[in-house]
Amino acid sequence: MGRKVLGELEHLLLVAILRRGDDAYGAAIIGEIERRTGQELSRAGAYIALQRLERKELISARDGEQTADRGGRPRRYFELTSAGRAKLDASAASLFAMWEGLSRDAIEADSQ
Amino acid sequence: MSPHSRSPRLARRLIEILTPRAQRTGLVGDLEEAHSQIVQSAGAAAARRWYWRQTLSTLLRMPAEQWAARPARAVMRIARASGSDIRFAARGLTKQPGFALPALCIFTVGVAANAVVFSFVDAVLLRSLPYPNAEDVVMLWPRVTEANRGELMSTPTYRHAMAWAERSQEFPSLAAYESAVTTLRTPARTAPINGLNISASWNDVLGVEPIRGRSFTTADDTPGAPPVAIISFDLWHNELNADPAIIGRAIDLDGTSTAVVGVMPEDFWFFDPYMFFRSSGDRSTADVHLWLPLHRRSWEGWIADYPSLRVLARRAPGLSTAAARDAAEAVARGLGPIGDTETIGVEVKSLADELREPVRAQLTALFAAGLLVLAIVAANLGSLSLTRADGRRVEMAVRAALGAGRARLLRLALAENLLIALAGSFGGLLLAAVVLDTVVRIAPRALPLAHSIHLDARVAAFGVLVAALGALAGGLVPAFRTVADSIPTQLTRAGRTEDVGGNRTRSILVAAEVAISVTLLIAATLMLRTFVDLHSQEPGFDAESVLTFQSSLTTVPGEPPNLDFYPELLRTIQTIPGVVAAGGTTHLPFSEWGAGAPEIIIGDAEPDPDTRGERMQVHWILPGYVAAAGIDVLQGETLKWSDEPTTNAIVNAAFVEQHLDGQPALGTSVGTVSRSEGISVTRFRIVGVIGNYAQSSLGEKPQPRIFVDGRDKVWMHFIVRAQGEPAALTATIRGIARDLDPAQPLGKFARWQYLVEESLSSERFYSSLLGAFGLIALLLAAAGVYGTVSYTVSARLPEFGIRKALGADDRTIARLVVSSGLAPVLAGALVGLLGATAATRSMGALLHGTSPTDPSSYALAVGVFLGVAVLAVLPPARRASRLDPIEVLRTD
Repeated sequence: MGRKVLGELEHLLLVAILRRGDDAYGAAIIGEIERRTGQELSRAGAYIALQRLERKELISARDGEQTADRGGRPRRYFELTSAGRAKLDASAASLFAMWEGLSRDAIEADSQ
Repeated sequence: MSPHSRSPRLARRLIEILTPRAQRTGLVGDLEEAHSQIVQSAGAAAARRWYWRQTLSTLLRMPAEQWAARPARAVMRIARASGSDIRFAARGLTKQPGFALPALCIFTVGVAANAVVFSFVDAVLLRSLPYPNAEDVVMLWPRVTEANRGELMSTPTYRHAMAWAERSQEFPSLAAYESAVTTLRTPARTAPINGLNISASWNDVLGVEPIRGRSFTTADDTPGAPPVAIISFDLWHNELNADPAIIGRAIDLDGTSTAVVGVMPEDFWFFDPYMFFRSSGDRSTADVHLWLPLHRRSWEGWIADYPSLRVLARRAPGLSTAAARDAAEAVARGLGPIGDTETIGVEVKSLADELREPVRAQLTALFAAGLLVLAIVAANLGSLSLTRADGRRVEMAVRAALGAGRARLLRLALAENLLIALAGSFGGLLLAAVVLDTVVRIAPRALPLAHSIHLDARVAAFGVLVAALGALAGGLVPAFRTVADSIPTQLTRAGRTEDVGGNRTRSILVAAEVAISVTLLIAATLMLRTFVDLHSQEPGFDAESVLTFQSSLTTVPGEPPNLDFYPELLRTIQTIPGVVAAGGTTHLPFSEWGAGAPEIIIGDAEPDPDTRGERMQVHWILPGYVAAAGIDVLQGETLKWSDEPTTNAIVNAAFVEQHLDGQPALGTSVGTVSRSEGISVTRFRIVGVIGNYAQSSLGEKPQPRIFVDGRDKVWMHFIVRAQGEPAALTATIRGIARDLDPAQPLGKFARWQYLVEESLSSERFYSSLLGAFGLIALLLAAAGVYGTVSYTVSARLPEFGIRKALGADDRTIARLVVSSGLAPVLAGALVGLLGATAATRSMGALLHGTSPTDPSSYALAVGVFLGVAVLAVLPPARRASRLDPIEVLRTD
C-alpha cells in the first residue's frame, strides 16, 4: 500500500535521519530540517509523518536515554529499515532524474 | 532547569492527551528539549509562544491522524462510548426546539459573560509579566521616620539606590529610575515624550535587551559622558521614520544632540504605575518611549537625599521575599539619617503586585459575579432538563425495562446537556469575541496590561470548561432523578403528566436562581449608586468648555529658561476671539502633575530650627486661573498680573477653617519653609479666599491649599475657558506658541471635562459590568420562574379543570397559580438578601457614599426583582384561569 513516491516531508525526514546517523532522535531530525531549509516545522506534523513511516515499516524506532531537560522523558531514536533505504533511493533517483540537465536558474527564468 | 522556564503545563497536558502512547514520550520530550533551547536563545516568552503554536498544530492534526489511521477501530470506539447517544441527543434536540433554543441562549450568555471577565482576569492577574522570570523582579520602598510626621512609606533616594546596588548580593541586578518628560524635536514636529531616566543595569533587571544597538553601560551613566538615548520601537517608527541607520544617529532631546544607542523590541512594554498620574489623555500615554541615563543629572548634595527615585531589582532566584527584605533593610539601616528622615525598614514588593494590587479586588469581584451567573445558568438548565426528562419518562422506562444500565441512561441524559453546552460555549465565545473589544475600550485607564487582553486558547478553554461544568451541574439533577425511580413506578406513571418529586426540585432550583440573582442585583445596585453619587458631586469648578494643555520649558544647557514665554502665551491667548479667560497652574485638578507639598508656616513667627512644621499643598498659578477654572471667590480678590512676581497669596476655604481659628484670613501672612541650605522662609500675604474644589477625585475630602504666583516655574498646566467648543482652539494656540518661541512644545491638549469624567472611568467600568451581570441574572431568573410556573400550570391543568367544574372562579385559580409560583421566589429573595449582606461586606472599599448594607439599595434590588417575577408569573396564571373545564376533563 501507499504511494510510489515519498511525500516531500517524508523524504526530508528520511534524509535527515540518514544525516544524523546514530543521533537521529525526533528533536535532532526536526532541527536538522529546520536548519537546512530555514523553515519552522510543526512537531506534531513531523511526528505524524514519522508515525506513518514507521507504520509503513520504512523506519524503525527505539527508546533511548532519559535526560533532565526533557523532563525525564526518553529520546526516541529512528533509523531507516532496508525497505526505507530502498524507498528513499527510488524516490531520490526519480527526483534526480527529473532534475537531470536542469539547473535551478530554470525556475527563475520561467517565472519571469 | 529553573522552575520559571518550564513549558506551559496545560499545553503539555493537551499534547499528552492527544498523542497516542507510542509517540507520546518521544514527542513531548522533543518539545521539552526544544523549548529549553528556545528559552536560552530567545527567552521564556518566545519559548512559551512557540510551545503553544506547537500545541495548536498538534490539536489540529493529531486527532484526525489517529482516527484516520485506524478508521474501523475509531468508529467502533466512538459508537461504543457515546457516539450513538450523541447522535441520538442531537436528533432529539433538533426535534425539541422548545428545550434546545432557550438552553442554548442561556449558555451563550453565561459563557460570554464568563469569557469576557476571564480574559481580563487572565491577562491582568494570572499571566506573568512580559519579562523573563518576571516573578523575581521587585520594587524596593524604604519605610522611614520623619521628624514631626512619624513613620511613613517613602520613595527611595539616590543614596538608598547606590547602597543597595553596591552592597546587596541578594540582588544580582538593581536599577534606579525616575520618570521624565523630554522634548523631542524633529524636522516634522516638536513633541513631549514620556520617558525614564535609568541607571545602567535597568535592562538587566527586566532581562530585556534592545533589538538594535545596546543597552546603557556604566560609562554612559557617568556625569559628563556623551549624551545617549534608547528609544522605543514605536518612537523609532512613528517619529523617526524607522530610519534603518538609527543606531548612532543624533536626535534633538531638550535641545541637546543625543546619540541613539538602542531600540527596544516592538512588544516590549513597561508601565510605570506612578507615571500614569502624569498622563492626561488616553492610556497609552503611561507607556514609556524613551530611556536616558540617570546620571544626566549629577546626584550630589541635597538632591542625593531627595526621595524621588524608584528602585527596581531582580532578586536572586529562589530568594524569599522575607530574605530579600532583610538584606535590603540591613543595608538601608546602615545609611543613618538621610535629610531629616531615618530609614527603619524596607518593603519589597514584586512588580507584578505593584501593578495588580490596585485592581485585584475589582477584578475578583467581577470574576465571582461571572461564576454566580454561571450558577444561575446551571440552575436554569436544571429546570429545563427536568421538564425535558418528564417528557421522556416513557422512553427511559422502556429502555430501562429492556435492560439499559443506569450508567447508560445517565449518559444519555447528560449527552444532551453536554451537546448544548458545547454549542452554547461556541456561541458564547463568539459573542465574547464580538463584545470584548468594546469592553476593553471602556476599561479604566489605570488598568495595567489592558493592551494584552484578548480571547485566546486559555480563555476558550476556560469558556468550554465553564460550560461543561454548568451542563454537568444542571444536568445531573434530573438525570439522577430519572434513574432513581424504580422501573415499575416509572412505567405506571409514564403515561401521566402530573409530577410529584419534580415540583419540589423545581422550586428549589427557582429559589436558588432567585437567591443568586438578588445577591448580584444588590451588588450591582451598590456599584451603580456609587457611580451616580460620585458623578453628581460638584467638583467646585466648572470644567465645561475648558481646554487644558501642558508645557515644560525647554532649556538649552548653560542658558536661563525663557520665563517670559508663559506670560506672553497667556496674554496672546486672551486676545483670541471666543476666549473667556485663561490661566495656568502647576496642579491641574484631575491631572495630577505637580510637585510635593512644602513645609509652611502661618503668621509672622520664625520656624522652629529643630522641628519641621506642617506640610501643605502649594499651587503655583498664573493670574487668570481662578476665573478660567470657574472657582468661586469667597473673600477678597485673586492674583493679578504685575511687573514683578507678586507676594500675594490666596487660600481655599478649608485652609481658613482648619488653620485660622476664626481669625480674618485677608492680610494674614503665610510662608513656605526651605531647610536645604539653612532655614529660609518665603512669605506671602493672603489677599483672597476661594471655594474648595476636588483636586484628584470627585467626592474627596477638601484639603487646605495655598495658591501663589508661579511665574518662575518652568512647567505649567494651562486652562482656557472658551465660549463654544474648546477643542477648536487647539490649532490657534499651537500657532501662537510657535510664533512666540518655536523651541517650546505644548502637549496633552484635552477637554477638561473629559479628564473629570475619566477620573470616574474605574467606577463607570465596574458598575456597568456588574450592572450587566445583574441584568443577565435578573432575566435568567425571570425566565426560570416563568418556565417553572408554566410547567406547573400544564401539569396541574386536570386539577384546575376539576376545581373549576366544582365552582372555583377565575380569580381563585389565578391566585392559586400566582401564590404557588411566587412562594419559591420569596424564599429565594430572602436567602439572596442574607447572601448579599455577606457578599457585599468585602465591597466596602469599592463603594462611595453608600454603605455595603444600604437599605434603600437592597429594597430597590428586591423590589425590581419581585416586579419582574410577578410579570413572569402572570401569563401562565391567566392561562390557567381562562381554561375551559370541559376541554380539560375530556382530554384526560
